[in-house]
Amino acid sequence: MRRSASIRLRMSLLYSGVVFGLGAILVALVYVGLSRALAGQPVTETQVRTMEGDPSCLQVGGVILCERSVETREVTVVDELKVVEKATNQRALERFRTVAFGGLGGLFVVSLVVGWVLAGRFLAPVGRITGVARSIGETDLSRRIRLEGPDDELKRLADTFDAMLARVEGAFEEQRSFIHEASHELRNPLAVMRTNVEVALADPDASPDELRDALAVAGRSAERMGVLVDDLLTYARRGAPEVGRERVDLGVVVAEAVEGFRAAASARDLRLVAEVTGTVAVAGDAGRLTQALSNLVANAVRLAPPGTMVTVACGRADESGRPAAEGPWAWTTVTDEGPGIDVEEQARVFERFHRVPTGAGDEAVRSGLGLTIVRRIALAHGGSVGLRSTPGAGSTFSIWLPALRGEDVGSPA
Amino acid sequence: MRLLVVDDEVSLAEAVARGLRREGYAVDVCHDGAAAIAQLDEVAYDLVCLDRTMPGMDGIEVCRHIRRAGSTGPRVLLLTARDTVEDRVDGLDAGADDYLVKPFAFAELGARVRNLLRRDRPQHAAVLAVGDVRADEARRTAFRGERALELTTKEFALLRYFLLHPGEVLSQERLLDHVWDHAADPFTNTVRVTVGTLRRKLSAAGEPPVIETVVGAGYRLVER
Repeated sequence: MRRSASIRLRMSLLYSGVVFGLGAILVALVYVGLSRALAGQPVTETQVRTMEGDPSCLQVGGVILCERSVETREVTVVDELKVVEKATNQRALERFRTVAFGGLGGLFVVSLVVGWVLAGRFLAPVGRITGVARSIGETDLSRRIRLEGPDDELKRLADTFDAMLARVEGAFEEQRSFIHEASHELRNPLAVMRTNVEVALADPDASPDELRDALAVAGRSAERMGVLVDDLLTYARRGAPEVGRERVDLGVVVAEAVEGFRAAASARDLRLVAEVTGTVAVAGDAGRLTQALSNLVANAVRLAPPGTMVTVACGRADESGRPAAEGPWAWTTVTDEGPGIDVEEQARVFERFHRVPTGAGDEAVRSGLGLTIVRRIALAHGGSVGLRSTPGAGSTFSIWLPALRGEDVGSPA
Repeated sequence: MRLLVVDDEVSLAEAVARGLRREGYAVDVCHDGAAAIAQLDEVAYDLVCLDRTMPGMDGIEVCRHIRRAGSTGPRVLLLTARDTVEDRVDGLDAGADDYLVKPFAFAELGARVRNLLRRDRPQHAAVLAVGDVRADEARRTAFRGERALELTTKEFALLRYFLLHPGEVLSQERLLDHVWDHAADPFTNTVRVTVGTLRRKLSAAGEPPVIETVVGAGYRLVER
């Protein structure tokens, strides 16, 4: 409240200063004009004249003075009248000064009070905004100012503030639910580890094989937590994920992603195939795009039934998604011949920590964030993600990105 | 005491089951809600350790199913990674008897299981006693008078079941249902053999027998 009070004081001082100054200037002008007018043409000279038809008489206003030796008397009368007039003028000016100074003093006080009251009324919404802002704690972002009144500067300020609060509240809620879900996801592998270790340790007759099993389970859980922590960090690096804007050839991205999983695929007896035709250029961050595609390939390699084929491809398409050599969209897909995904699950697979009920894959190293990260990267590149899946016949995950047109190709960012 | 452990984390469910079996419970395991319900309709479990979050049918739904089925259903201990107040309220409102947040100490899980199973019996003590036969569940020790008994896990589990139902005639089928898990072969004479060894150990020092055979009906623990 101190800040608003000091503005209030400054505003009322300024207001009263301006009013006082204008008043003072007005009074000074009136005073100067008046004194000049009074000094300029004495009333006496215009009002005392010799009466027509009788030069022995003087006419002063409506009074007629008749004497002899008019010449001398006229001078005497006029002089005396002049003295009186001067004294009268002097007094009138003095009275005027007194009244003017008093009036100005009064004006100063009144304008100060009026200024204080007016400034208080103008600043009342500011006090309200300050009060609300102060009352908003970390945990209660639901409060709003909701300023009533005309659509003026302060109302717009309050509305802007409300809109900002809404954004902050949204981000905060998102953060909170993320932390909640993340801690939940971290607890599961922790519970697996702890229970296995405790149960194994509590058994005095445990065989080396039993102990080895418990250690293997703990090791897998630790690995799973490691992946989860990595993904959590990737995911939490927020603030509209910074993406570079260099020219990236999706063909190279596909080749890198495929190379990275060749060993894992052959370990599961999968055929991992890259299908690249020509150059598919997009503007973006090669590292991020490789990560996104690798997440998709990792899922396919993990879940596809042994002996099947996983195909990683890229190309260009027109607006309706049909292949077109010079189309505006670049795509890259990962296709597996796995069990497919139920229709009602398809919409949710990109959600954070969503778990597809596969019945198997429980022990798998997964974080529940992989596909969410893919979607984030695609969105950050101005693109999108897609999924086509027929239960029993396999799934195709796709990333769609705006393609670099011919004239853009080769222009480094 | 027959327990069911339901958790989609296979290695967690197996570890919990292994630990509980060593405490003398008969434990079955399943990994999703639908299988749990099928199992629950089949066997009269005494207690269910239920994971809350499972893909498909979750623990809350299974819990509601158990409570809809009747008031004499098994005790439900909800295991969960969610620990907000709302989560706890939801779980307890759905009919869970207790709530344990992952990761938990196995010792605490054991204590809670014992505590839940104890609620059904008249005396609320941690040590079960009928006459001069006593069993301390937490320490897994048993006594006849002052004499400590050397019991196998299965014998201990059997004695505990007798102590929980003193004076009742317990049929072989009932003992098989509550003391053995579904891995036990119902056509063997494992119940008869185990009752026999337990009876021998209880009277090894010449004490009067406490487990009577009721011909054609089963066995009964009597107070001496």
